[in-house]
Amino acid sequence: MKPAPFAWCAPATLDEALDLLAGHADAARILAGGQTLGPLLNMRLATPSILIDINGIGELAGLHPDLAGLTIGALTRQSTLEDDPALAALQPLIAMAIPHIAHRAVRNRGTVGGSLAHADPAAEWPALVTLLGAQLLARSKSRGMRLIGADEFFITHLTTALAPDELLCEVRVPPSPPGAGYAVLEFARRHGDFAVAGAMVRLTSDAGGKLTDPRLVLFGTGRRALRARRAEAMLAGASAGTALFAAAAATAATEIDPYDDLHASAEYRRHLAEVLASRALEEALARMNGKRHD
Amino acid sequence: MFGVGARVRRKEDDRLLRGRGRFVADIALVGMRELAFVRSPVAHARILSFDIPEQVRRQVFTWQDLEPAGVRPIRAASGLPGFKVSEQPPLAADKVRFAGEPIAVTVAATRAEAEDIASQVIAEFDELPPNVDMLAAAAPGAPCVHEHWSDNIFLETRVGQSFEKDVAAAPVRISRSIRTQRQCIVPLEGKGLVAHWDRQAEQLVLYTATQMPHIVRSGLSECLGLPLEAIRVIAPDVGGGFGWKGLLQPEEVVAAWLCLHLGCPLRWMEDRREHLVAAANAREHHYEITAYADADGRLLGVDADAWVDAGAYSIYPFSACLEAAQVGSILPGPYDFPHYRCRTFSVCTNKPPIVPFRGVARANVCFAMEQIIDAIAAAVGREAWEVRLLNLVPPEKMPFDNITGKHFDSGDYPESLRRAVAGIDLASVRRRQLQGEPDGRLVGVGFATYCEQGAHGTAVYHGWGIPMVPGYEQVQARITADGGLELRAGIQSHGQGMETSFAQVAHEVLGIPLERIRLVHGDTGLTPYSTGTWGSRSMVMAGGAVATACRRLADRLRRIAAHLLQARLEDVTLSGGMLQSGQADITIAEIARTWYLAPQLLPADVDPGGLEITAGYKPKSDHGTFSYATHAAVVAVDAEVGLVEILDYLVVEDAGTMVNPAIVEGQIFGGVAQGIGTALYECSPYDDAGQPMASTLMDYLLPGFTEVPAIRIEHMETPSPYTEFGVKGLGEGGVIAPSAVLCNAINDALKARGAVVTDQPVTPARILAALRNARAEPPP
Repeated sequence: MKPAPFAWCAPATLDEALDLLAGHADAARILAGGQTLGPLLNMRLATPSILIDINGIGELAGLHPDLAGLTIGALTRQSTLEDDPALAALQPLIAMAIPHIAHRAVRNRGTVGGSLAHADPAAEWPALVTLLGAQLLARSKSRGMRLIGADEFFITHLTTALAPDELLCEVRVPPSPPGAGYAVLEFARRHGDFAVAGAMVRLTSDAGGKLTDPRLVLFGTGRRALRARRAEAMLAGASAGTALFAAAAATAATEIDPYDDLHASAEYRRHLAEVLASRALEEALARMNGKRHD
Repeated sequence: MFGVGARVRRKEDDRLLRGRGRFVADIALVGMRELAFVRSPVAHARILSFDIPEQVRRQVFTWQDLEPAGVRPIRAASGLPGFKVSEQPPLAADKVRFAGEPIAVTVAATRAEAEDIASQVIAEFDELPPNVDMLAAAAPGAPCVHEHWSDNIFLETRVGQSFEKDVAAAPVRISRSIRTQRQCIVPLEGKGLVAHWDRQAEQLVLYTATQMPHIVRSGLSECLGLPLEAIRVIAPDVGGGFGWKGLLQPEEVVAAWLCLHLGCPLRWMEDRREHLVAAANAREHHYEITAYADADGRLLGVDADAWVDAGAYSIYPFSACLEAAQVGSILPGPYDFPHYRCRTFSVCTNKPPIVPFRGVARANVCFAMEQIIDAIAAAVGREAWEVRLLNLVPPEKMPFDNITGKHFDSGDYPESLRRAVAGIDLASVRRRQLQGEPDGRLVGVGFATYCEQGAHGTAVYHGWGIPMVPGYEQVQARITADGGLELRAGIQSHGQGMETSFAQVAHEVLGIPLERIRLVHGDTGLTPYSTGTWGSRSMVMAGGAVATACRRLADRLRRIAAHLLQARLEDVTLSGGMLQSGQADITIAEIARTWYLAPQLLPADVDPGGLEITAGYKPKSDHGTFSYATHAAVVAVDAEVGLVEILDYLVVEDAGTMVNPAIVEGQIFGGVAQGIGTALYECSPYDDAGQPMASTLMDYLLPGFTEVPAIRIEHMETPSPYTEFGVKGLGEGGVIAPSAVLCNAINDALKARGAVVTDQPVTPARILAALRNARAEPPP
């Protein structure tokens, strides 16, 4: 388990990185935290001829909250977010999801952009940006700057809308709506594993107690994290309740296209998706109603 | 207190916990090159040809290079009647028999370059139908893994006679099919080796991560045709073995030959994928058991057929049949019942050879037998622990010869169970079950009792007729001129803390401070012959030899002391490292100085053997020690998704006299953690083509910190009547019961829904399937 030969270069600026990408495009891979790429290289599942190591490009890391929301640099480590005391107030869902990402040692190196660009359908970040309606900013020499909505970013399993010469530079997350209740639930055999199935929920309600713009995302249950739009439509404008949630969860489970692997059959994933969706809806409701503060 | 029974900190931890050990991977020799193995991508095929690019031809070696040079296949026959012998060329010859089998080796300056070359070696195969499932492979007409055999059975064994007439009226008859999965062993450190030719000593020196350096040396000698004195095997620090390092491996043979052939040092480090898919496989059993009991739950008889998927080859030295043959003799467990019959089949399949894994066969039979006990309890409407209690060998029968002739040495098995029932607070678990959980989960409690034969000696092993039979275990003890003590033992300590526990034994006898006692181990050039560390034997056997050697040194010290103190020998006592007679005393260091540096002061009849001795030891009965335990666990099962949480885990164990309770507890903690892996997580499945499906640690699930709960331990201490200090082997014990306990606890939780799980690992999918089946077929 040693990698095939590759060249390594470490640009000091974004511009240099984009130049290298423009020059090597298909033969190059971006090295950020290396938590996924490292094993792929060692197992020779990835055999790029050049690695463009962006760890030296400081401008790609960091959090920038403003009125338009939160901008997260692609090179921001998961642990930087985990340790930021302001995050839970700014973006409760992100704060709740980060501890589910692997283990602390992985979060110390792993980056937000790396997770997004890898586009594992069972990972937390694709689900997060999908639910939050984030925009992803990519740059390249050929196209300049491009903002891609989360809905368009993920094409399928391990495939994004990024062009070979494009570098994902930042994530722009809209502000959390006032009074929102969130939940993240994952089913994994062991703590820190990729989710066999997961659900994320955001609930808000109007003065009359009707749900407004409910969001339900299922992940690990198909080729990409999926907003369960038919379930969301059932919830929108309705009054929250266990029967409604159960029905919405059942509907959500019909919207996914789950797969078989060593850890779960497609059928089991569908079952999990329904259970998790229902539980996540209940949990998000409790938080929205202020009955749950953990 | 630093002697036997003292909870002292481990001497070796200072280097090991600070990362200052010296493992194979830390060894670098000048001019050393690296090896990579090309492994078969298919499970069963004839090798038609190799396509090796000309520019790397000189860096690639196959059996066509080794065989003409006289390298012989690995051969581990058993003397048991009917055993079919397999020959395993260390690089496949004309045929590959499992995916992952080494078919070629490449040499380069770095491992990465060796892998580059390996990726260019292409073999052409004529694929044959693979034998993937042991039951199908055992059936008539299955394609033979070894074509000159008549079927795929390495060995069939039979114990006992048919007893159907005797139990015809039994009110309880329970039948179960039980399957245990193929596992990988996964020590922290995988296998690794460095081979070089020592020109001065004219010896092949093999540094290798092994539990049994002397046995590896014997095996290499057989395969390479070198006399033993031309081979030295050294195990440096070894990062866990659990059985994986208790055998001669094909890679060792290849590397040793290649080192001689190329004349340069060579290194091979097993990577995790090789570990998972190519070699370290264990524990795959299938049971068909019928048990008979009376209306109280008293066992009347057990009738079992057991299959073990032994993989493609017989491993050296334990052979392909040790596991299944042991099943026949240990399935009755700690119970006393009148009728028993068992047939076992060691089945040859197109999978990696099965190797001994901590708790060899014991963990599987415990899983099977303890499920049966719970099923009988359910049938007679009693608590499972009551049925256990009814059947356990009672203390007044000890020592006890069981139905298969196992000689249980000592102990109070029922008391361990009673203490477990009290310690887990069964009554409160039952109340909790009645109340139900606020989160809707189902709570269950389970128990399992086992006894563990360890430190088997000649009496047990000569019957197997395998290439290794343990005899007297020898230790060399040498008092140095400044009063320190060097112990040299042929066992190998790879996590067991023997550098500490053996020092405690020596300290108990001689009183020399622990910090002045050193254990030299794991080096055939420096230590007496030993079969090594396996089978929970080292503390009993080598520890006993340490005590024997030290006692004999004490006698010699007393003789010299009597002369120097001008006292009668019978008046000289040794205590706290000081020899005394009346008011006069002299230290061991002073006597040592006299022996080495002032011999003119010695008595005329001094033992010329001096202060160095080799002593051999066997327990008074070498049928093995029997430690035992009851484990109990409380679990909560989420019946919607199938997840299990372990709420409480208790071990009540008795391993005789404890030399160091902290080391005993460490063994138990680690064993239970591994057992939890067996119970709930670990599985190495193969697809229909014989391809291993768990090739990384993302797919082969080991329990981690968050999956292993705090484990509570209560000790009992019934000395063995046969061993030094009454110690018993306990290294494997912790791993034996967890899968049985957790399965029983899960079934206790599921019983309200009428569901039963019988196969391990008990995965969420299996739990949900059991619940679905129960809904489809509600109990009558």
